[in-house]
Amino acid sequence: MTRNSPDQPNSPAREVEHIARHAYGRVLAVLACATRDINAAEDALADALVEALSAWLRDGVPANPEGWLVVAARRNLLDQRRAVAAARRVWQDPGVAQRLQDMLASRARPEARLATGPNPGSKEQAVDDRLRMMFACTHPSLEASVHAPLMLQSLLGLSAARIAGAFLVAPAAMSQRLVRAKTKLREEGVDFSMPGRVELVSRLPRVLEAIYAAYSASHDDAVEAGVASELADEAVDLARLVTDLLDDQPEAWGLRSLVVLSRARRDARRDGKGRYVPLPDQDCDLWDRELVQEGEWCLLQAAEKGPGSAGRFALQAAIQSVHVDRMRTGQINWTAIVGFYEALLAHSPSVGATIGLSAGLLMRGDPHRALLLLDGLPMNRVKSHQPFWAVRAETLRALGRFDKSSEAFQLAIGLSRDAAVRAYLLEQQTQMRS
Amino acid sequence: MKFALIIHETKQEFAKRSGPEAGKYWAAWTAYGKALTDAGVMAGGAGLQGPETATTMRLAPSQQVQDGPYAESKEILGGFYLIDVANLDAAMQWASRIPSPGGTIEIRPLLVM
Repeated sequence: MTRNSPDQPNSPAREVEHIARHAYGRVLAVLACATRDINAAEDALADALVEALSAWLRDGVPANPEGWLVVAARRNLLDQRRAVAAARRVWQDPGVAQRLQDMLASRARPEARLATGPNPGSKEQAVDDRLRMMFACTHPSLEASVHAPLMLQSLLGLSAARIAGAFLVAPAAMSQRLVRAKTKLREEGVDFSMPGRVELVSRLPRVLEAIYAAYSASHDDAVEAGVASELADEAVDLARLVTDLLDDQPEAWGLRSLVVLSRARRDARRDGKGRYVPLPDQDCDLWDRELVQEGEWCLLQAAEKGPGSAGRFALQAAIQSVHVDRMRTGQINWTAIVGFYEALLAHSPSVGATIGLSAGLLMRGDPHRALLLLDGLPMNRVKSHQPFWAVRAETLRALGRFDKSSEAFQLAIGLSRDAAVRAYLLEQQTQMRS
Repeated sequence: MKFALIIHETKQEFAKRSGPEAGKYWAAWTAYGKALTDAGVMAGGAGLQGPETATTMRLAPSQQVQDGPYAESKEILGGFYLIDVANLDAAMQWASRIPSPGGTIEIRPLLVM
C-alpha cells in the first residue's frame, strides 16, 4: 500500500477526500441554486473535485476549500456553456450537423444560467442554499420515493450505488430515477427559491419525511452493516441542518429529536455476543449520553415552538423519550407510551402506529385489546410486514394461544432481514414450545 | 414477473446444515419458505445437496467428465427459489430476507416463453 493510498486511514489523500465530501452539499447547493440545473452543477463539481484532489495534495488544502471548489466548478460551468455555444455555431453547417448531433446528443445542455451568484465566502448564503436545495429535492412534481435518494445525493454527495444499497433498489434503476428527477426539475423550470411562509407549512412535511425515510432505510433491520449505519449519521446531520435553518418549526425539532434519540441507542441493540436485544431489555449504560441530551433538548424545543399541537414526529420522539426515562427511573411507563401512541393514531393513522400501540397495550398488560387492534388491520397491508407478526406472536403468547403464536413467530422469522433478530425470534418460539 | 433467486451460501453457513446448529438453520429456511407461500409469491425452487455430490460434464467436442462442482469458489450454490412478484424492486425485497448471513443472492428474471 502506498503512503497516499485513499484506503489508508488518515492519509493525506483521505483527508482531502473527507474535506471535499464534507463541502460537497454546500458547494453543489450554491451552484445548483444559481443554475437551477442539478445535473450540470454535478458535472461541473465532479470535475472540480478531481482537480481539487491533485491540487490540494500538491499545494495543501486551501484556507477556504468550499470557496476554492465553487470557483473551480463555476469555471467548469462556464466551459460547459462555451462548449455548447461553440457546438451551436458549427451546427449551422449542414454537413457536420448530423455527426455533431450524434456526438453531442448526450452531452449538450441548455445554456447554464450563470448568475453572479452568492458570494462563496458567505456562510449564511451557502446554508440557505442547502435548505432551498432540500425543498427542490422534495418538490411536489417529483415522486415521493425519489425525494430521500435525491437529497442524499445532492446534499451529501452519496453515490447512486450506495443509495441503491440502502433503499434495496438495483443501482442502474436508482441512477436512472435520480437522473430523471433532476431532468424533470430542470425541464419544469422549478425554481430553487425558498417557499414563502404559507407554502412552507405544506412543503416542510415532505422534507422531513424524506429525511426520516433516509434514516429508516439506514436502520431498518440492517443494524450490523457499516455502510447502513453511516447513512444513519448522514440523516441525523440533515435533521440537524433543518433545525439550524428553520428553528421555529416544531416538527423539524420533533424529527431531529426522534432520529437523535434512536441513534443514541445504537450500541445497545446487540449484546457482547452479537445477539439482538429488544429495546425494553437494553442496557441503558450503553446509550450515548450526549445524543440522549441533544434529543431531549430538541423535544423541549418542539414543545416550546408548538405548544399544544404536537405533530407526528414530536409524538414519536416523545415515545422514545419515555424509554429514555428508564435511565433515571429504572422502569418503563407503558401507560405514557400507550397515551402517546393513541395521540399519534388520532393525528395520523398508520399501520406502524397501530402496531406500536398494540405492543404498548401488551406490555401494559392488556393483550386482549392489543389483539383486537391487530385483527383490525387490513391483511393485505400486513401479511408481509415483519413487525406485525412479531407483535402478534407475543400477544398470542400472552393469551396462552401457543399454536397460533408459534405460527405467527414463524412468519416473523421468515420475514426478518437481520440474522440477529431472526435468531432472537427463533429462540422465543422454541422456548414457548418447550 | 417471475424471478429466480439463486443462493450462494458462505462455507460457514453451509456447514450448519449438519451439526449442532442444524435445527436453527433449517427452521429459518422453513420459515422463509412459509413467508413466501403465505404472501402468494412462491413459484418453485429447490435446495441442493453439497458440492461434493456434484458431477460435472463438459459436452462434445471436448467431452469430459469430472467429480465435483463446475467451479471451486468461496461460496457454495445452495439452492434457488422462483418467485412471482410485480417487479425487480419487490424481488429484491424478498431476496433481502433470505436467511443466509454473508451470502450472495443473484436475482434473474426468467425467460418468457
